[in-house]
Amino acid sequence: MSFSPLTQQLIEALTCLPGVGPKSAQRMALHLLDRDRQKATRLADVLSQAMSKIGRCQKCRNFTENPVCHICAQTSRDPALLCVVETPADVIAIEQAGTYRGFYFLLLGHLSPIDGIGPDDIGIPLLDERLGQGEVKELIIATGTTVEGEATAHFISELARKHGVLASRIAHGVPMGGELEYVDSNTLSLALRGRRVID
Amino acid sequence: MNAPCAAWVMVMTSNEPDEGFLLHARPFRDSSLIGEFFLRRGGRVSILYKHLKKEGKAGAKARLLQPFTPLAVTYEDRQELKIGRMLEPAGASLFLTGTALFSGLYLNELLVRLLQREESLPELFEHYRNALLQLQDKSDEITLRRFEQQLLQELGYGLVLHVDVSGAPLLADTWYLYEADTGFIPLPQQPADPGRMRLSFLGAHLLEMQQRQYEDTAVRNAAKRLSRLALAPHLGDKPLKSRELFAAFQQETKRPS
Ligand SMILES: [Zn+2]
Repeated sequence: MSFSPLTQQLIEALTCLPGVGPKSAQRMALHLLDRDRQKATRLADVLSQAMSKIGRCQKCRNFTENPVCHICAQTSRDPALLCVVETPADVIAIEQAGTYRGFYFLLLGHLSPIDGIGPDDIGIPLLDERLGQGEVKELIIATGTTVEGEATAHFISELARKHGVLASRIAHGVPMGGELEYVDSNTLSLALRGRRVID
Repeated sequence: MNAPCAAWVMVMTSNEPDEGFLLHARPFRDSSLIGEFFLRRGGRVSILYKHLKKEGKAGAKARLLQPFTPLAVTYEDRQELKIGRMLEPAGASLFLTGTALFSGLYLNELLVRLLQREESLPELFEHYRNALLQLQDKSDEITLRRFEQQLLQELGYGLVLHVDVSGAPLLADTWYLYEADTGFIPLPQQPADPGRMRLSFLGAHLLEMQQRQYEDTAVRNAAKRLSRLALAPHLGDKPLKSRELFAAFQQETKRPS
């Protein structure tokens, strides 16, 4: 059996979603056409609006439909603190932890020479400019614990040093409630390297 | 290939772990990953790891799949694809930081770009492992220059650094013009033209390189220039991104604070 050209196009379009192969895309398309026309129309409408209106925040590069995102617009935050993260999901995670009161900067990736991703691709020129404005006093680097995340952190810490800004890396290591014997060796080595004096 | 033979290959690969390093990993579909490895016996191989978990105990495998971590691996050989099976640490992870980390990424990019798939290069593997150990101790250019020469040697592009094109021994105070595929052509004097100068080397520096002696800065700079010239035809048009990154990083570190 073959679908009409437009149905086929819909199925193909849905495979752009992560984890959605042709089979699931077919199921989704049929569900939308068959059961949920109203909600599907709303989805199409919101999707199209989001795609045309959502851009990047001029200050932090997070997604927003305004020139400056709602976090960067908050006046209650400490402008001396800037936290560098890889993804919008990292911002949400730190916000949910609830203890951080500074601003963010999003790289939307990390340095990866083999993939051809260099400093310009992760917004380093904008960060350079931001640090050059002199308001930021401490840069908290919260890139991933991967080798690429580490390389990115080093690169950014040199940038901070150039601007006379204190750079710190968030501590990585043994999770809360973690039994040492179950922690993998890479995590354990990181935790040992990042050890601190108990005061 | 008949069936018993294929089965035999499978048993071989899955029973005897090979040792090696991940050079690069790229995500594949939602929770899978394709790792480019440099293995002691297997050479450069791509291995697919399916259904990797990110968190908790189940995520240990994903966290192990990092460059510069000595790994013991077994895989199932399926014609086009190799499917990862056992994956365990085979020693302590190497900790490369700062310049050493960028140097390590440079070595990885060189290997990804230049190694033929599944060509066993146990000596080059040993050189790579040693280079990483040296970078961990002390990041210096000597390690990079030596590895570049070893890489050229092991890939069969090795340079003859003791005789000129006619087979006459190199003289320390003579300048030589490097010509790919031909060798070193003696020059009557040091060339004045900058374009020609970029392709020219002092005999004394070439002799030091032949001895793998890179303590002298002038020799190191000459070795860097020569490696680039010798590697260029094999790297093609695409520039090495890690080289650009390394230069940008050094630019940042050099600028006064
Ligand atoms: Zn913002």
